[in-house]
Amino acid sequence: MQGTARTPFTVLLLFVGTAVALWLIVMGTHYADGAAEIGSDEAAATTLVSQYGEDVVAYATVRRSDGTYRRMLVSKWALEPIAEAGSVPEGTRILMETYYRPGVVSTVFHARKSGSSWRYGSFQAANPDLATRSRASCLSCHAEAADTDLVFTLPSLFAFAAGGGASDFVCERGGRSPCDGLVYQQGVAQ
Amino acid sequence: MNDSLPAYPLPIRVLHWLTVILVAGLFALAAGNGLIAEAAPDLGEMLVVVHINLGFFVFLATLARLALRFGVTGPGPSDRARTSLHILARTVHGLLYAGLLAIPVAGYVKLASLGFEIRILGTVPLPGLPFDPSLARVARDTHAGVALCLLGLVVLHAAAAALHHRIDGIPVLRRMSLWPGAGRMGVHYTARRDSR
Repeated sequence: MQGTARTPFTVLLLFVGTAVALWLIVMGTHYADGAAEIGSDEAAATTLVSQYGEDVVAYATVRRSDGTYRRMLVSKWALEPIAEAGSVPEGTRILMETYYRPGVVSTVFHARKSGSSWRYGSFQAANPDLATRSRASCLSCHAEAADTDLVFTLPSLFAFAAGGGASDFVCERGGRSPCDGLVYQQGVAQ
Repeated sequence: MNDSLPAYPLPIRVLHWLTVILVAGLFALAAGNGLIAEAAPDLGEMLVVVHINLGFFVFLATLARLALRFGVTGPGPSDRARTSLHILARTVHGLLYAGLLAIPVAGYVKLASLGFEIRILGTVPLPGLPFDPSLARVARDTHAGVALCLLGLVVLHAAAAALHHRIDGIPVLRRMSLWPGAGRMGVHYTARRDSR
């Protein structure tokens, strides 16, 4: 019986250890929160980008404390309707280029407004693919931006559409964890 | 109360360990998606879809456990444990059940209220909900917050069981064991106590 008694105890210890380790990993991606203005550079410049199959312009750059950054782009045609209506029209496409090294685009995430919600997709920069579908992993995260049409950088987009410059700010959370909504508000280009 | 600590009925033991495996898998899948979703978005989406399916089965397993718990006579607590510990144990068990039901429901509400159609095993659709981002955000916070609380409760539950088993000498682990002979542990426990 000693052997059979030890086995479930070991299983429990393994489970608890695994659970604690996973918790530490998850919590480790949610450290400090805040925003800071930094100098703009070429990535934040208002740029017309056409290589993805649709004319899009850069309206924001969101930097992370680990040196990576994301450049946000939006359909050029949508800027005027956004400025006029104060909302994002159906069919608008938003792209997010991820940069792990300055100037080198990695995965490009994109979203297309469909009805009230958004459909999502992704591709590697060298092989553009604008197909979208409803994706649970994207919606799960973007639910946090409920007040801003499921778009974290909507304040920057509205400011840009209204004639302001491209925003450039820091979200000090690690990895892909979105920052608090206040960070995206404070990061809007003045 | 029963001091010989007979085993729980086999269906309850099976569902208990099935839930342990499913919940461990759910946390692993959620953490895995967080780590790889940017480098491999399609793989991350696949992990989330598996996560959704496992969550649905945790919900079903928990309902089945509750039905068994109310419908099948299980062993009572040991006379050797204090009444305050009995109350604490019942409270933790109740919260665990509540969490195991609330987390999948919150996950469902989060996605369904954003227009995502959930299909169990890729075929059986769950009912949709009206588009409501505010509700989705509340559900998202509930899903994540209760999951962290559940993790704490699981640690507490496992630690208490290990404490009783190892330090107090009450073989509570064995009565939830799937291994043959678990049902005879009352004999072993009585003999061990008498030998002291």
